[in-house]
Amino acid sequence: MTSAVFRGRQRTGDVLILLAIIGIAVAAAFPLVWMVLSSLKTPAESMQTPPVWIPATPNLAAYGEVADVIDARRSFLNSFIIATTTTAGILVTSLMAGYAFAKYRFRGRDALFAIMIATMFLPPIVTLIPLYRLVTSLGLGASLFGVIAPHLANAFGIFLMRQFVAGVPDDLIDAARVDGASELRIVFSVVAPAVVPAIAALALFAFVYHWNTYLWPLTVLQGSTDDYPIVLSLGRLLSYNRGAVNTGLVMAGATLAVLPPLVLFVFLQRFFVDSIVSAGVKG
Amino acid sequence: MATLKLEEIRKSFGSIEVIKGVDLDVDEGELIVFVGPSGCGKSTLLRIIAGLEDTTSGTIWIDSEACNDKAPKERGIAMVFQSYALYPHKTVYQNMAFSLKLSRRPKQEIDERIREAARILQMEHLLQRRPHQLSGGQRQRVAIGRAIVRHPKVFLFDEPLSNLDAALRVSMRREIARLHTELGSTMIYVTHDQIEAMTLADRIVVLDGGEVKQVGTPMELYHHPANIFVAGFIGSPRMNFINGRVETMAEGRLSVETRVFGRLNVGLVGSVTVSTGDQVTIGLRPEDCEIVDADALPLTVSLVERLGDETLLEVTSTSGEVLVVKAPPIREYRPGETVGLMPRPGALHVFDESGRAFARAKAQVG
Ligand SMILES: Nc1ncnc2c1ncn2[C@@H]1O[C@H](COP(=O)(O)OP(=O)(O)OP(=O)(O)O)[C@@H](O)[C@H]1O
Ligand SMILES: [Mg+2]
Repeated sequence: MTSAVFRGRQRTGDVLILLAIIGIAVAAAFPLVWMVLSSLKTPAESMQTPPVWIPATPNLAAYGEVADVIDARRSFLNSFIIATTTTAGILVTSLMAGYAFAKYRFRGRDALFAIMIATMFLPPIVTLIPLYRLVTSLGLGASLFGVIAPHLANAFGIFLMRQFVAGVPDDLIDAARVDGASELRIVFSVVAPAVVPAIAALALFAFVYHWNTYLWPLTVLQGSTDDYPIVLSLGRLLSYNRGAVNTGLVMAGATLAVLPPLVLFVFLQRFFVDSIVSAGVKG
Repeated sequence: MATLKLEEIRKSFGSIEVIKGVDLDVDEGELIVFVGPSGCGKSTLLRIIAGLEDTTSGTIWIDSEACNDKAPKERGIAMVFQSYALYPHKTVYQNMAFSLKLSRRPKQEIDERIREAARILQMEHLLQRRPHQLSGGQRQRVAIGRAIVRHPKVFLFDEPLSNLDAALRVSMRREIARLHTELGSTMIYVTHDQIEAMTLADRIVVLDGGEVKQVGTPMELYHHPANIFVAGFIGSPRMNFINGRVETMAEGRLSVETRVFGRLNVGLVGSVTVSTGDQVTIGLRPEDCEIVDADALPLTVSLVERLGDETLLEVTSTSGEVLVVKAPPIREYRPGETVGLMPRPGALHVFDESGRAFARAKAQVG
């Protein structure tokens, strides 16, 4: 194959891939854009058919209204508490357990790991009721801690960390042992800095997942609306006004709810993209 | 500075025994080199001394204190790894400071020790760099510096030079020798390179298959190898081995019939437990024979390697045995030509069928 032909083919291929990417990006962004635009419309504009695309007089009235209907500040705070504590818990437990699975030789290690992995394939709905019974019987029902506690460790996080920590050279860990570092110190001062991309990726996954989680807090909190995270409170916006949906209001609430994970993504994106690429290389 | 004593050390991984009862006494300030082929257990033994690996049985004494149950940091050792194992996210300074910080030394003292180590290793200008900004040789220096700042009782080196190119290896080897003189510390140095072993060691420990084959000064090992394994391992190019059969024995003398040289007379000391007709192996170092004109038992030159200061000849006997000999460079040899070989008197080694050496007269070549 001459290089000219090859380059020509490559260029056609590039264009096709680019078109596909653009198509997917547009499809993915469409609902988000629609959401933001709708939040800026007047109630009349929201109801119109055919739909109005660009609001004639964009206004933030709906955002003010959100705060009238729900205690938005409280809901955001609840969401923050749930997402950050859970994420922090997952990072710490995943790093420690991942280190143990990757670097310790102990009896039953592989069997234990396999069992743990198997839990990843249980649909959450299967464990919902047993977990709920467990949490309430521990007296944690209808509290934020009840929402958080069962998710402070998770199999995927441990799996991810084990894969990455396995790539940290044994000599590095032995050097730290000779230098007098305790095992905990090794995990956090030597191993963690070596797997920063994985930590960033896991932090993002965990934060977004637990920011958006709906079913579990709904089950545990049992109508204790003061403890509702923003995602549950959005549901209340929906049912506000006896079923006559105020689209602008709901969209304003949704736009607000999307912001924190988005900001976090922008902040962690560099690491995140990095880790997915290197994970691909390391296999 | 400290003494180190290993007593009947054994180590198994699962059902496989990799260290099979090692005893060793190391004096204060001695530089001991462990050599042996790949997989013989050098690193394992070193890691046992460091406390990174448990023993299956046996005792490790550092300064006459049993250390089996002590963590690495409590043993007063420092280790330099083959892969350098520098903390990648820390600067050179922080790499060296890590252990001192962990033992809560005052800042002032930490700084002094790092500056001192940097001076000894001539790397003051590198302190603020990170490992990825350093060359291989510089990284190795930092790894050594990280060991020095701890003022350890015993330094442990696991093949510290094997990732360096040939020229750098030679200069770092000298550096380590200099360091040993300057610090006067007890050091254990692992290598599979017998030149490193010969040049650095006060005493060499030759390991094979998890057993100590011989312990001795470089010259003892060179002139008086205790067995075929050590004889073949120490010296480069390696010793030639020729099969022979005992013809006659007399007080301090053995007469052996070989196919390459015909009858050879070997001077021995002590009592010898062979009888006429026994198979023995004769060892002859490449540097221990003289090349003469072809005689009754001619050898054919099959390969010529010119090293400049000397030439290595591979020669094949009529009976098919291959020997390597060192020849002075003054004469050109060509493949295919025939030569004769004359072992230097007193240079022969004799091993019995189990590979054990017969004692040779002391005071070989100066
Ligand atoms: N963690 C382990 N589990 C099982 N076997 C091991 C382990 N570590 C080492 N071994 C085995 O022990 C033997 C000795 O290994 P060791 O690393 O000490 O050899 P070495 O002399 O340092 O070799 P090299 O020159 O290649 O570094 C080898 O056969 C190796 O396979
Ligand atoms: Mg080794």
